[in-house]
Amino acid sequence: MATILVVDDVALDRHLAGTLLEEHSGWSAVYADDGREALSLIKLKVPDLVLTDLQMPEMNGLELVEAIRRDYAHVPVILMTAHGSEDIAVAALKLGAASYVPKRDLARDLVPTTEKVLGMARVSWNQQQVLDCLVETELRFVLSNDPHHVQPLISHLQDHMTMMSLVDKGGLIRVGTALHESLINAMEHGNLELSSELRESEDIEAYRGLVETRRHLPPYQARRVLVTARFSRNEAVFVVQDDGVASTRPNCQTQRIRPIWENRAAAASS
Amino acid sequence: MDRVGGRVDLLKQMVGLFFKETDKLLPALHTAIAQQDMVKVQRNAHSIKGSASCFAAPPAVSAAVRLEFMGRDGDLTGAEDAYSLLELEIERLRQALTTYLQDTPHSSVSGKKQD
Repeated sequence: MATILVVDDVALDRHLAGTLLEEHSGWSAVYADDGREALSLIKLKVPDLVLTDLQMPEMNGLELVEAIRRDYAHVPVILMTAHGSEDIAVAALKLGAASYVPKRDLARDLVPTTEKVLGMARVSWNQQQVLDCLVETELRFVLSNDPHHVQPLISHLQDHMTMMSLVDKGGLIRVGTALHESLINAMEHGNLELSSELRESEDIEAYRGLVETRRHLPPYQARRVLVTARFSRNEAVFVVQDDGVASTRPNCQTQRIRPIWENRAAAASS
Repeated sequence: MDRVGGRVDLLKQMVGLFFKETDKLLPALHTAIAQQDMVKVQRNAHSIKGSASCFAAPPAVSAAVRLEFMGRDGDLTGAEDAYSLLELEIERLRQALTTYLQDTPHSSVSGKKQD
């Protein structure tokens, strides 16, 4: 049984949407006149899905989507759009609304769109249930010295941290910045033996040219960067090792990230 | 009919609800104009606009939009004339809907003007 909260200040639209949904086996509809009433109802009983108009008094659909994404992130939102609400619909989709149905097409598209979104939400919920059982995982990457691989790798690691609820948005940015620095350091200063002074010099194009040249030349081209990422309930640990000359600088850096519930996403280098 | 997927049963329900809603919203809008209550002018006109939009009725929608904008902008100059036009367009729409349903097989308007 799925409960769908229909939010619209126009009684006819509420009735049409609610009737179409309730004709589907296993679905029931509850109703709110605007975003504020919708949030009050959600507080009392969280629905499986919210279907909302965009232009409403008190609290409009955009503000409602924002509040739901913030406080009830697992509840998907479908927008009902009308002529003139295109801009606000785009903004709501960017904020995380799952889909939209033009009001003129409710009879044709509402049920299939709702089925699709509820299906995706169930898969996502089940995945989260499995992830909640994950206690530890370790990933290992062996990178050549191509700087283009740095950002995709960081994004991948950030996704893992998000999945395991280890850091908040601010923490993700800090981790990303620290990892970027470590990886570039390992590639360019470790494996390619380019000095920090040269990097900070005014001629950045010449420096980039040198990176490009050296990474294809022996002995540098055979050198690799080994990245180990270990995620657990208590922390995330990143170890970045390069094959550079260890006598001139440390060629292993470790970053340890504490989870958000300890309220200290501290990074320490060793 | 497109909006209800060609279903006469749903259309009848919607028409009944339209009569009920406009019976309530039009007097409320008129009172709000008389009381210079901009928020209620905007809100009631917006709801009438939304109700009329369900039946693809551009003249009624335009008349409601005009009053909605007056409320939003806090300027009710010409609001009485705009209201009269809206009332006229809503009445035309009601008549058109009633005629349509009378001409449609196995149908009658269940929500005819309520007191």
